[in-house]
Amino acid sequence: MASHGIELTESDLRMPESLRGLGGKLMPIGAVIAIIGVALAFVGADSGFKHFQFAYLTAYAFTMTIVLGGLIWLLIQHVFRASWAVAIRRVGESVVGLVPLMLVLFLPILVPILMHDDSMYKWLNHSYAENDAEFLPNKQVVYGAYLNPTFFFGRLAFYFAILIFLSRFFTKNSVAQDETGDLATTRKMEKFSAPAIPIFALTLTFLGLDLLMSLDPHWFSTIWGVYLFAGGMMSFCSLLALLCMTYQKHGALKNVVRKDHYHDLGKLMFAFVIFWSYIAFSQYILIWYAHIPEEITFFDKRQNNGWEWVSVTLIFGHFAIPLLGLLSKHVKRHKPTLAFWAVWLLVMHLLDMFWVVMPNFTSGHVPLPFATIALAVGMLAIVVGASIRSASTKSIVARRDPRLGESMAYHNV
Amino acid sequence: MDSRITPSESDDPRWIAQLKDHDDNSEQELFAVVAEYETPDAVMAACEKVRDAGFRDWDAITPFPVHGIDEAMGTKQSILPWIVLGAGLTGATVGLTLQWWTNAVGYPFLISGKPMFSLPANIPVTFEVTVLFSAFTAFFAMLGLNLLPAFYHPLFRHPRMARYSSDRFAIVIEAKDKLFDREKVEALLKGSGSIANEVLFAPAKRAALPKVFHGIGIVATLATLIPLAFIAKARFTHSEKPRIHIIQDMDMQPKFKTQAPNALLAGLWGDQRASLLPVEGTIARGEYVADERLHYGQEDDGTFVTSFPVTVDEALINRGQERYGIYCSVCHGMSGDGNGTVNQRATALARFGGKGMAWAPPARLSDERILLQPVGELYNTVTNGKNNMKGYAAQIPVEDRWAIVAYVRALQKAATVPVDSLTDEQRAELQSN
Repeated sequence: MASHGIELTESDLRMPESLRGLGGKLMPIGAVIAIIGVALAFVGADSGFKHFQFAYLTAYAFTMTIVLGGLIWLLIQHVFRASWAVAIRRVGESVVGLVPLMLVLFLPILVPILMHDDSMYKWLNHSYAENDAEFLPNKQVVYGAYLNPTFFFGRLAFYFAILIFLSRFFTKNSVAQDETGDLATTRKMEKFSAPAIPIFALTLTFLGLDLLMSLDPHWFSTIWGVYLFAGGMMSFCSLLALLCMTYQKHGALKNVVRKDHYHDLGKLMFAFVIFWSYIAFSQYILIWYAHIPEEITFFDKRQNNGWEWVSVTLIFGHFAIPLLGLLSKHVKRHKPTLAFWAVWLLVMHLLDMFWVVMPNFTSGHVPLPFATIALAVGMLAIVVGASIRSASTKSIVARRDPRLGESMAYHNV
Repeated sequence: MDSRITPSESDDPRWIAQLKDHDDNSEQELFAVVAEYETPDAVMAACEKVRDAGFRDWDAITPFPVHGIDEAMGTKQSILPWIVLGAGLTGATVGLTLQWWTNAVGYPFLISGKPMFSLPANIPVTFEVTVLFSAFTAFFAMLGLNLLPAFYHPLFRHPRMARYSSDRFAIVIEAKDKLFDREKVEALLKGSGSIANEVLFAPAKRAALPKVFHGIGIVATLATLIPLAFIAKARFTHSEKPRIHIIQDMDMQPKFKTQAPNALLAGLWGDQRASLLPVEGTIARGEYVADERLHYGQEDDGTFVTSFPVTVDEALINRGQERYGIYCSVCHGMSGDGNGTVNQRATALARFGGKGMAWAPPARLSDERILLQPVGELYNTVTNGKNNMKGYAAQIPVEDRWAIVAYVRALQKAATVPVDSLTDEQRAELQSN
């Protein structure tokens, strides 16, 4: 099975008890932290249900983009027949398979808006488009046709159906191969991954457009989906590196995951730090240069009343500092330093989502972030716990993948 | 086994005789000991031994990149990344400084109302220059650090090199290494799992370059100076001749230009014009003036009209307000006080930066001078401009110009109404704004 004399034993394939226990503990701990977050939304200056809604949406956007970043990561591995990632693919799949859980976690957003709560999505109010004097006449028609509740809920159902199908297809087939060892399974996943990529891209774009961009219905940006993809992919690679380290700390994947895998994950993190910045700047410069009232509102909100500090923190924290920090090969091959940057980037991704969502809640000042942080940490803990639990029921390595041996013997220096 | 490098089949047949001659007549010198291996694992293991023996002038030759061989050979990490980082930072600095100097210092140029030195606008160029410097430096520094291009190396003429580029692996320990001792090196390599060892001799003197290449080299070098000489001559001399047209049919198109004489077809139209004159009495589309008071704002005797030639109603005033906001307010201000955004910026520039810049502020529309002007004169100013103000005839249709005049009258009225004449309600409403 493996070249270079690496042989996997049964204990290499099973999750250690201590890790399984951690996974079981993380979910209730996450739930408790999230409940504390809910409570925090109801104290302090901006307290109220609306604060909870926006904080929850921020936390959800943070977690969902990570899970979806995982899905596109998985699709890319298949479409390129990548061998390097086979050893860590199952760990990634355990996160990707959680799209149904993300649907459950979506309910606190969905239920209020189904009950005609339009404090987040103003246009859910039927008369909004007609009464909004700021709408240009021609846009009124577009907004009325696109941003109307019936179509909106229909679209959401459609997105989740596609995403659940994709995540189930690729995780199920991979697990099925553990038993059959059928090479045709690998071919099938390769074949389906190619059309799945554009389908995923459109789904993510429209999901991001509906859930996040429509918070400010006057504003639009055609690069929005790519922006979310860049941040999600970066964060997923960070989370995957941290997960692999956690597995190894508990004695799992000892002979399977090497420095070289971390090196490659680090490279992807580095690449997507740059890509995110490239996309964020592309979005900024066009709007800044044209300075058209209907577009500039987005950055106007985020450059005043304290939000400018959040923006500047993003420029340095999400671009300049990790760019220099992740530049060196040694940083990426050394677990503690890579873990530091992985945590850093996850924090920055949360800040990014906070910067995207929260100015729609209070553009006049920056609200206290504690409710958002607790909700996001709680939700991420639930997702990580669930991923470990789901991984514990099967082999933690895609053990009969034809490229596993190549992956385990992989050098990239 | 001792061996000599010899001309091989891959050498150019034209030079083989000459090379043979040189090799036979030249003094032979010990060049290196070469060991041959069958597998990458074998060569890796051998590399570790050679590395541990402390040699420096040696190399492993493999037909493809072998992962992990750097470590096995004890190769130090290349300084290339640091060179590239330095080049990248230099590129970023150069790109940014270039834009700062050209745009904000050397030739201050206002673009889209942004500040002269405006970081966001400069990022793309800075980024590109960074990439350019980094990429070129990476490429050329890589060649330099590898001592490339190498036109000659004794190993190139070693017959076994063909195999080392295809399916065999080799370690070469050169005689110039400080630790080199033929017996010891041979013993080391023999015990390293090699399938064959060779002691390689090479001519002490390199074969001389065939004479013809000297000539070609000199001529080629001189030839590169010719274009430079022409450029230098053109740069420092004057010429009466017209410039060289490289793209003839684009510079000299077979067509007549407006107002140009037509020597070719002289007499066709009865004169020497390139274009035919319109038939007498022709009026171009949209140029027909039915009502001179409306179009020119003047009576037959040339005095300005004193009453509107259009019906003044609320719709007209509203239209005028909108058009005024678009065309006039940038200079005259929304309230007609002459302090629009153009004036504000120009005043600020004149005060802080404009070298020798003079700025005549736009008129205040409630000036007595303008209050006393008849509507026809206001219309005339909108149409044909006045002093610094350009005419708007080309941009604003006749009816809209009258709408603007009507709105200007409304502004004047608003600016001159005495406070006492307002009712309490009106005053309260104004104060609340």
